[in-house]
Amino acid sequence: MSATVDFFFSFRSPYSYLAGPRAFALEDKYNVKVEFRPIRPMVTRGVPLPMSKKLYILLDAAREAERLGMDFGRIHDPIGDGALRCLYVSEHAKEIGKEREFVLRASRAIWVERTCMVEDKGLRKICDEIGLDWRQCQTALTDERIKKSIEANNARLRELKQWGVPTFHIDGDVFWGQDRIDDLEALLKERSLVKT
Amino acid sequence: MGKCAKEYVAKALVPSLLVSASRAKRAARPLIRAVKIMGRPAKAELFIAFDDPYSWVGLDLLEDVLRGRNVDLRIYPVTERGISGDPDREDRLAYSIVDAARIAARHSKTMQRKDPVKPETAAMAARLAESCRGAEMMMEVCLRFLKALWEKNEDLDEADLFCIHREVTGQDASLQTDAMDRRLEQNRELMFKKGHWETPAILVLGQWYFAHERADRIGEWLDRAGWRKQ
Repeated sequence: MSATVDFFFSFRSPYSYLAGPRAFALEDKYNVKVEFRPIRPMVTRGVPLPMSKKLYILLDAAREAERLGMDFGRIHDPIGDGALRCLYVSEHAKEIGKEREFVLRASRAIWVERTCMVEDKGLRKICDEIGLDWRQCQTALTDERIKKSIEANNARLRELKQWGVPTFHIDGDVFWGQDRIDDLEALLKERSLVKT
Repeated sequence: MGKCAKEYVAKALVPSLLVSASRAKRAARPLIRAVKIMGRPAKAELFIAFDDPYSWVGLDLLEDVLRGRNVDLRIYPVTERGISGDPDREDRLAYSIVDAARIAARHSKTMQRKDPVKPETAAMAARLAESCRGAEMMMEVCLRFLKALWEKNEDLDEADLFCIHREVTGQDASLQTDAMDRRLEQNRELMFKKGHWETPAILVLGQWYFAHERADRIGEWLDRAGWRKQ
Protein backbone atom coordinates (compact mmCIF):
# COMPACT_ATOMS: atom_id res chain seq x y z
CA MET A 1 0.00 0.00 0.00
CA SER A 2 1.26 3.49 -0.80
CA ALA A 3 -0.03 7.06 -0.85
CA THR A 4 0.88 10.51 -2.12
CA VAL A 5 1.71 13.42 0.17
CA ASP A 6 1.43 16.81 -1.53
CA PHE A 7 4.11 19.15 -0.21
CA PHE A 8 3.32 22.84 -0.88
CA PHE A 9 6.47 24.91 -0.60
CA SER A 10 7.70 28.48 -1.07
CA PHE A 11 11.34 29.50 -1.34
CA ARG A 12 10.43 32.75 0.44
CA SER A 13 9.24 30.91 3.54
CA PRO A 14 11.83 30.15 6.24
CA TYR A 15 9.42 27.56 7.65
CA SER A 16 9.50 25.80 4.27
CA TYR A 17 13.29 25.67 4.55
CA LEU A 18 12.97 24.16 8.04
CA ALA A 19 10.43 21.58 6.80
CA GLY A 20 12.35 20.54 3.67
CA PRO A 21 14.68 17.82 5.00
CA ARG A 22 11.95 16.14 7.08
CA ALA A 23 9.38 16.45 4.29
CA PHE A 24 11.50 14.74 1.66
CA ALA A 25 12.69 12.15 4.21
CA LEU A 26 9.08 10.92 4.51
CA GLU A 27 9.77 8.85 1.38
CA ASP A 28 12.63 7.12 3.19
CA LYS A 29 10.51 6.18 6.22
CA TYR A 30 7.06 5.57 4.75
CA ASN A 31 5.46 4.05 1.68
CA VAL A 32 4.58 7.46 0.30
CA LYS A 33 5.47 9.57 -2.69
CA VAL A 34 6.19 13.17 -1.75
CA GLU A 35 4.70 15.31 -4.52
CA PHE A 36 6.62 18.57 -4.43
CA ARG A 37 4.32 21.51 -5.28
CA PRO A 38 6.13 24.86 -5.33
CA ILE A 39 3.96 27.97 -5.05
CA ARG A 40 4.44 31.72 -5.35
CA PRO A 41 5.18 33.70 -2.13
CA MET A 42 2.14 34.86 -0.10
CA VAL A 43 2.68 38.56 -0.82
CA THR A 44 2.56 37.94 -4.57
CA ARG A 45 -0.79 36.18 -4.01
CA GLY A 46 -2.37 39.29 -2.43
CA VAL A 47 -2.03 38.15 1.19
CA PRO A 48 -1.12 41.16 3.38
CA LEU A 49 2.04 40.72 5.44
CA PRO A 50 2.55 43.45 8.08
CA MET A 51 5.95 44.13 9.62
CA SER A 52 4.98 42.54 12.96
CA LYS A 53 4.23 39.25 11.23
CA LYS A 54 7.38 39.38 9.09
CA LEU A 55 9.44 39.93 12.23
CA TYR A 56 7.70 37.19 14.20
CA ILE A 57 8.20 34.65 11.40
CA LEU A 58 11.88 35.51 11.05
CA LEU A 59 12.70 35.35 14.77
CA ASP A 60 10.52 32.32 15.47
CA ALA A 61 12.11 30.50 12.53
CA ALA A 62 15.53 31.30 14.03
CA ARG A 63 14.48 29.76 17.37
CA GLU A 64 12.97 26.75 15.63
CA ALA A 65 16.13 26.25 13.55
CA GLU A 66 18.10 26.16 16.80
CA ARG A 67 15.72 23.53 18.21
CA LEU A 68 16.00 21.42 15.06
CA GLY A 69 19.80 21.77 14.94
CA MET A 70 19.63 23.49 11.53
CA ASP A 71 21.79 26.38 10.39
CA PHE A 72 19.96 29.67 9.84
CA GLY A 73 20.56 33.38 9.74
CA ARG A 74 22.83 34.55 6.92
CA ILE A 75 19.85 35.42 4.77
CA HIS A 76 19.16 36.83 1.36
CA ASP A 77 15.38 37.23 1.17
CA PRO A 78 14.42 35.99 -2.33
CA ILE A 79 11.17 38.00 -2.47
CA GLY A 80 10.36 38.87 -6.07
CA ASP A 81 12.44 37.53 -8.93
CA GLY A 82 14.72 35.45 -6.71
CA ALA A 83 11.86 33.30 -5.44
CA LEU A 84 10.29 33.04 -8.90
CA ARG A 85 13.55 31.93 -10.53
CA CYS A 86 13.96 29.23 -7.87
CA LEU A 87 10.36 28.14 -8.44
CA TYR A 88 10.86 27.74 -12.19
CA VAL A 89 14.11 25.82 -11.79
CA SER A 90 12.58 23.62 -9.07
CA GLU A 91 9.78 22.62 -11.46
CA HIS A 92 12.41 21.75 -14.06
CA ALA A 93 14.38 19.80 -11.43
CA LYS A 94 11.18 17.94 -10.57
CA GLU A 95 10.73 16.90 -14.19
CA ILE A 96 14.10 15.20 -14.14
CA GLY A 97 13.74 13.78 -10.62
CA LYS A 98 16.12 16.16 -8.86
CA GLU A 99 13.69 18.31 -6.88
CA ARG A 100 14.86 17.05 -3.49
CA GLU A 101 18.49 17.95 -4.21
CA PHE A 102 17.63 21.35 -5.70
CA VAL A 103 15.10 22.42 -3.08
CA LEU A 104 17.27 21.52 -0.10
CA ARG A 105 20.39 23.08 -1.65
CA ALA A 106 18.68 26.28 -2.88
CA SER A 107 16.84 26.93 0.38
CA ARG A 108 20.05 26.48 2.32
CA ALA A 109 21.72 28.99 0.00
CA ILE A 110 18.91 31.49 0.68
CA TRP A 111 18.57 31.09 4.48
CA VAL A 112 22.11 30.14 5.49
CA GLU A 113 24.57 31.29 2.84
CA ARG A 114 23.07 34.68 1.89
CA THR A 115 23.00 33.78 -1.79
CA CYS A 116 21.26 36.20 -4.14
CA MET A 117 19.07 34.15 -6.45
CA VAL A 118 18.27 37.11 -8.71
CA GLU A 119 21.77 36.94 -10.12
CA ASP A 120 22.76 34.11 -12.46
CA LYS A 121 25.96 33.70 -10.47
CA GLY A 122 24.10 32.60 -7.33
CA LEU A 123 21.50 30.38 -8.97
CA ARG A 124 23.93 28.81 -11.42
CA LYS A 125 26.32 27.80 -8.65
CA ILE A 126 23.53 25.79 -6.99
CA CYS A 127 22.45 24.21 -10.28
CA ASP A 128 26.04 23.24 -11.14
CA GLU A 129 26.59 21.72 -7.71
CA ILE A 130 23.69 19.32 -8.05
CA GLY A 131 24.28 18.54 -11.70
CA LEU A 132 21.52 20.51 -13.39
CA ASP A 133 22.30 21.69 -16.90
CA TRP A 134 22.45 25.48 -16.71
CA ARG A 135 21.18 25.99 -20.26
CA GLN A 136 18.11 23.87 -19.51
CA CYS A 137 17.59 25.85 -16.29
CA GLN A 138 17.74 29.12 -18.25
CA THR A 139 15.13 27.75 -20.65
CA ALA A 140 12.93 26.79 -17.69
CA LEU A 141 12.97 30.41 -16.43
CA THR A 142 10.79 31.49 -19.37
CA ASP A 143 8.91 28.24 -19.99
CA GLU A 144 5.14 28.89 -20.14
CA ARG A 145 4.42 25.24 -19.39
CA ILE A 146 6.31 25.51 -16.09
CA LYS A 147 4.56 28.77 -15.28
CA LYS A 148 1.19 27.04 -15.77
CA SER A 149 2.26 24.19 -13.53
CA ILE A 150 3.12 26.63 -10.71
CA GLU A 151 -0.21 28.40 -11.13
CA ALA A 152 -1.93 25.00 -10.93
CA ASN A 153 -0.17 24.38 -7.60
CA ASN A 154 -1.46 27.71 -6.29
CA ALA A 155 -4.96 26.83 -7.46
CA ARG A 156 -4.74 23.40 -5.82
CA LEU A 157 -3.76 24.98 -2.50
CA ARG A 158 -6.78 27.25 -2.71
CA GLU A 159 -9.03 24.29 -3.53
CA LEU A 160 -7.86 22.75 -0.27
CA LYS A 161 -8.87 26.02 1.44
CA GLN A 162 -5.29 26.60 2.50
CA TRP A 163 -3.17 29.70 2.16
CA GLY A 164 0.23 29.19 3.77
CA VAL A 165 3.33 27.03 3.50
CA PRO A 166 4.62 24.53 4.19
CA THR A 167 1.38 22.62 3.78
CA PHE A 168 0.99 18.87 3.49
CA HIS A 169 -2.03 17.08 2.05
CA ILE A 170 -2.90 13.41 2.01
CA ASP A 171 -6.30 12.07 0.96
CA GLY A 172 -8.26 15.05 2.31
CA ASP A 173 -6.23 15.59 5.49
CA VAL A 174 -4.27 18.83 5.57
CA PHE A 175 -1.39 19.85 7.85
CA TRP A 176 -0.02 23.38 7.83
CA GLY A 177 3.37 24.17 9.35
CA GLN A 178 6.84 22.70 9.78
CA ASP A 179 5.83 21.87 13.35
CA ARG A 180 2.91 19.70 12.20
CA ILE A 181 5.05 17.05 10.49
CA ASP A 182 4.78 14.91 13.64
CA ASP A 183 0.98 14.97 13.27
CA LEU A 184 1.32 13.95 9.63
CA GLU A 185 3.65 11.12 10.60
CA ALA A 186 1.17 9.96 13.24
CA LEU A 187 -1.44 9.70 10.48
CA LEU A 188 0.95 7.77 8.21
CA LYS A 189 1.58 5.31 11.04
CA GLU A 190 -2.14 5.02 11.71
CA ARG A 191 -2.63 4.13 8.05
CA SER A 192 0.09 1.45 8.29
CA LEU A 193 2.34 3.22 5.80
CA VAL A 194 5.58 2.65 7.74
CA LYS A 195 8.25 0.96 5.62
CA THR A 196 9.31 -2.41 6.97
CA MET B 1 23.04 54.49 -2.44
CA GLY B 2 22.33 52.56 -5.65
CA LYS B 3 19.35 50.26 -6.19
CA CYS B 4 21.46 47.10 -5.80
CA ALA B 5 23.02 48.33 -2.56
CA LYS B 6 19.60 49.29 -1.15
CA GLU B 7 18.23 45.87 -2.07
CA TYR B 8 21.18 44.17 -0.42
CA VAL B 9 20.60 46.13 2.79
CA ALA B 10 16.85 45.37 2.84
CA LYS B 11 16.93 41.74 1.73
CA ALA B 12 20.21 40.50 3.21
CA LEU B 13 21.75 42.74 5.85
CA VAL B 14 18.64 43.75 7.80
CA PRO B 15 17.11 40.25 8.20
CA SER B 16 20.50 38.71 9.02
CA LEU B 17 21.21 41.42 11.61
CA LEU B 18 17.76 40.98 13.16
CA VAL B 19 18.38 37.27 13.66
CA SER B 20 21.86 37.92 15.11
CA ALA B 21 20.54 40.64 17.43
CA SER B 22 17.73 38.40 18.63
CA ARG B 23 20.19 35.60 19.44
CA ALA B 24 22.47 38.01 21.27
CA LYS B 25 19.52 39.43 23.22
CA ARG B 26 18.42 35.96 24.31
CA ALA B 27 21.96 35.03 25.30
CA ALA B 28 22.87 38.20 27.22
CA ARG B 29 19.51 39.38 28.65
CA PRO B 30 21.01 41.84 31.22
CA LEU B 31 17.67 43.44 32.12
CA ILE B 32 16.08 40.05 32.64
CA ARG B 33 18.92 39.08 34.97
CA ALA B 34 18.43 42.27 36.97
CA VAL B 35 14.71 41.47 37.39
CA LYS B 36 15.60 37.95 38.48
CA ILE B 37 18.22 39.14 40.98
CA MET B 38 15.65 41.47 42.53
CA GLY B 39 13.40 38.45 43.07
CA ARG B 40 10.61 39.86 40.96
CA PRO B 41 8.21 37.72 38.96
CA ALA B 42 8.74 37.27 35.24
CA LYS B 43 6.22 39.32 33.31
CA ALA B 44 4.08 37.60 30.71
CA GLU B 45 1.29 39.17 28.65
CA LEU B 46 -1.16 36.87 26.90
CA PHE B 47 -3.76 37.95 24.33
CA ILE B 48 -6.72 35.62 23.87
CA ALA B 49 -10.05 35.47 22.06
CA PHE B 50 -13.00 33.30 23.02
CA ASP B 51 -13.87 32.48 19.41
CA ASP B 52 -10.35 31.09 18.96
CA PRO B 53 -9.83 27.38 19.71
CA TYR B 54 -6.07 27.94 19.87
CA SER B 55 -6.68 30.27 22.84
CA TRP B 56 -8.26 27.36 24.75
CA VAL B 57 -5.35 25.02 23.89
CA GLY B 58 -2.80 27.74 24.61
CA LEU B 59 -4.15 28.79 28.00
CA ASP B 60 -4.67 25.19 29.05
CA LEU B 61 -1.05 24.29 28.21
CA LEU B 62 0.27 27.50 29.77
CA GLU B 63 -1.42 26.67 33.04
CA ASP B 64 0.89 23.63 33.31
CA VAL B 65 3.97 25.49 32.09
CA LEU B 66 3.52 28.37 34.54
CA ARG B 67 2.46 26.35 37.60
CA GLY B 68 5.18 26.59 40.28
CA ARG B 69 7.01 29.46 38.57
CA ASN B 70 7.13 33.04 39.81
CA VAL B 71 5.43 34.51 36.74
CA ASP B 72 3.04 37.45 36.64
CA LEU B 73 0.67 36.49 33.82
CA ARG B 74 -1.56 39.26 32.55
CA ILE B 75 -4.36 38.18 30.25
CA TYR B 76 -5.87 40.53 27.69
CA PRO B 77 -9.09 39.34 26.01
CA VAL B 78 -9.77 40.75 22.54
CA THR B 79 -12.73 40.53 20.20
CA GLU B 80 -10.95 41.69 17.04
CA ARG B 81 -7.77 40.03 15.84
CA GLY B 82 -5.85 39.10 12.72
CA ILE B 83 -4.69 41.17 9.77
CA SER B 84 -7.04 43.68 8.25
CA GLY B 85 -8.00 42.68 4.70
CA ASP B 86 -6.86 39.08 5.11
CA PRO B 87 -8.63 37.20 2.29
CA ASP B 88 -8.14 33.86 4.09
CA ARG B 89 -9.77 34.75 7.42
CA GLU B 90 -12.65 32.24 7.12
CA ASP B 91 -10.37 29.43 5.96
CA ARG B 92 -7.98 30.14 8.82
CA LEU B 93 -10.77 29.81 11.37
CA ALA B 94 -12.03 26.56 9.81
CA TYR B 95 -8.52 25.09 9.80
CA SER B 96 -7.81 26.27 13.35
CA ILE B 97 -10.70 24.13 14.61
CA VAL B 98 -9.24 20.98 12.98
CA ASP B 99 -5.70 21.80 14.03
CA ALA B 100 -6.55 22.76 17.64
CA ALA B 101 -8.34 19.42 18.03
CA ARG B 102 -5.15 17.65 16.87
CA ILE B 103 -2.97 19.62 19.31
CA ALA B 104 -5.42 18.84 22.11
CA ALA B 105 -5.33 15.13 21.21
CA ARG B 106 -1.51 15.21 21.40
CA HIS B 107 -1.98 16.24 25.04
CA SER B 108 -4.66 13.59 25.70
CA LYS B 109 -7.53 16.08 25.56
CA THR B 110 -10.62 16.05 23.42
CA MET B 111 -12.03 19.15 21.81
CA GLN B 112 -15.74 18.57 21.37
CA ARG B 113 -16.69 21.70 19.42
CA LYS B 114 -16.49 21.43 15.64
CA ASP B 115 -18.08 24.73 14.63
CA PRO B 116 -17.28 28.40 15.30
CA VAL B 117 -18.41 30.22 18.45
CA LYS B 118 -21.05 32.90 17.86
CA PRO B 119 -19.54 36.41 17.86
CA GLU B 120 -22.00 37.65 20.52
CA THR B 121 -21.07 34.77 22.85
CA ALA B 122 -17.34 35.44 22.35
CA ALA B 123 -17.89 39.17 22.97
CA MET B 124 -19.85 38.62 26.19
CA ALA B 125 -17.24 36.15 27.47
CA ALA B 126 -14.54 38.73 26.70
CA ARG B 127 -16.45 41.49 28.57
CA LEU B 128 -16.94 39.30 31.64
CA ALA B 129 -13.30 38.20 31.59
CA GLU B 130 -12.11 41.78 31.19
CA SER B 131 -14.27 42.82 34.15
CA CYS B 132 -12.00 40.59 36.30
CA ARG B 133 -8.85 42.57 35.42
CA GLY B 134 -6.60 42.85 38.44
CA ALA B 135 -8.29 39.97 40.23
CA GLU B 136 -6.45 36.73 40.90
CA MET B 137 -9.23 34.62 39.42
CA MET B 138 -9.07 36.17 35.94
CA MET B 139 -7.13 33.21 34.57
CA GLU B 140 -9.64 30.80 36.07
CA VAL B 141 -12.57 32.72 34.57
CA CYS B 142 -10.94 32.72 31.12
CA LEU B 143 -10.08 29.03 31.33
CA ARG B 144 -13.60 28.08 32.44
CA PHE B 145 -15.15 30.01 29.54
CA LEU B 146 -12.75 28.53 27.00
CA LYS B 147 -13.19 24.99 28.34
CA ALA B 148 -16.97 25.25 28.31
CA LEU B 149 -16.97 26.59 24.77
CA TRP B 150 -14.29 24.48 23.11
CA GLU B 151 -13.55 21.42 25.22
CA LYS B 152 -17.11 20.65 26.27
CA ASN B 153 -18.98 22.33 23.39
CA GLU B 154 -21.57 23.79 25.74
CA ASP B 155 -24.19 25.91 24.06
CA LEU B 156 -23.67 28.91 26.33
CA ASP B 157 -26.00 31.87 26.40
CA GLU B 158 -25.47 35.12 28.29
CA ALA B 159 -27.00 33.75 31.51
CA ASP B 160 -24.67 30.72 31.42
CA LEU B 161 -21.64 32.96 31.10
CA PHE B 162 -22.76 35.11 34.04
CA CYS B 163 -23.35 31.91 36.00
CA ILE B 164 -19.79 30.62 35.35
CA HIS B 165 -18.41 34.04 36.27
CA ARG B 166 -20.36 33.94 39.55
CA GLU B 167 -19.18 30.38 40.33
CA VAL B 168 -15.54 31.41 39.97
CA THR B 169 -15.58 34.89 41.48
CA GLY B 170 -18.36 34.46 44.04
CA GLN B 171 -19.83 37.77 42.86
CA ASP B 172 -22.46 38.94 40.42
CA ALA B 173 -20.91 40.81 37.51
CA SER B 174 -22.20 44.27 36.76
CA LEU B 175 -21.15 45.21 33.26
CA GLN B 176 -21.17 48.51 31.48
CA THR B 177 -21.06 47.15 27.97
CA ASP B 178 -19.74 50.27 26.21
CA ALA B 179 -16.99 50.85 28.73
CA MET B 180 -15.98 47.21 28.62
CA ASP B 181 -15.95 47.21 24.79
CA ARG B 182 -13.63 50.21 24.88
CA ARG B 183 -11.28 48.27 27.16
CA LEU B 184 -11.36 45.28 24.82
CA GLU B 185 -10.46 47.58 21.94
CA GLN B 186 -7.60 48.98 24.04
CA ASN B 187 -6.39 45.40 24.55
CA ARG B 188 -6.34 44.87 20.79
CA GLU B 189 -4.46 48.15 20.34
CA LEU B 190 -1.97 47.07 23.00
CA MET B 191 -1.35 43.77 21.17
CA PHE B 192 -0.64 45.61 17.90
CA LYS B 193 1.45 48.28 19.59
CA LYS B 194 3.59 45.68 21.33
CA GLY B 195 4.13 43.89 18.02
CA HIS B 196 1.62 41.11 17.40
CA TRP B 197 -1.53 40.62 15.38
CA GLU B 198 -3.14 37.35 16.41
CA THR B 199 -4.18 35.24 19.39
CA PRO B 200 -3.05 33.42 21.47
CA ALA B 201 0.11 35.53 21.34
CA ILE B 202 2.17 35.75 24.51
CA LEU B 203 5.05 38.10 25.25
CA VAL B 204 7.37 36.51 27.82
CA LEU B 205 10.50 38.35 28.91
CA GLY B 206 10.79 40.10 25.54
CA GLN B 207 10.03 37.04 23.38
CA TRP B 208 6.80 36.58 21.42
CA TYR B 209 5.34 33.10 21.08
CA PHE B 210 2.10 31.49 19.96
CA ALA B 211 1.00 29.82 23.18
CA HIS B 212 -0.80 26.88 21.55
CA GLU B 213 2.21 25.66 19.58
CA ARG B 214 5.20 26.88 21.59
CA ALA B 215 4.19 26.09 25.20
CA ASP B 216 7.22 23.84 25.75
CA ARG B 217 9.52 26.50 24.29
CA ILE B 218 8.04 29.07 26.68
CA GLY B 219 8.92 26.73 29.55
CA GLU B 220 12.46 26.32 28.21
CA TRP B 221 12.86 30.09 27.86
CA LEU B 222 11.70 30.67 31.45
CA ASP B 223 14.10 27.93 32.61
CA ARG B 224 17.00 29.55 30.74
CA ALA B 225 16.13 32.95 32.17
CA GLY B 226 16.07 31.53 35.70
CA TRP B 227 12.34 31.27 36.46
CA ARG B 228 12.32 27.52 37.07
CA LYS B 229 9.50 25.52 38.62
CA GLN B 230 9.68 25.39 42.42
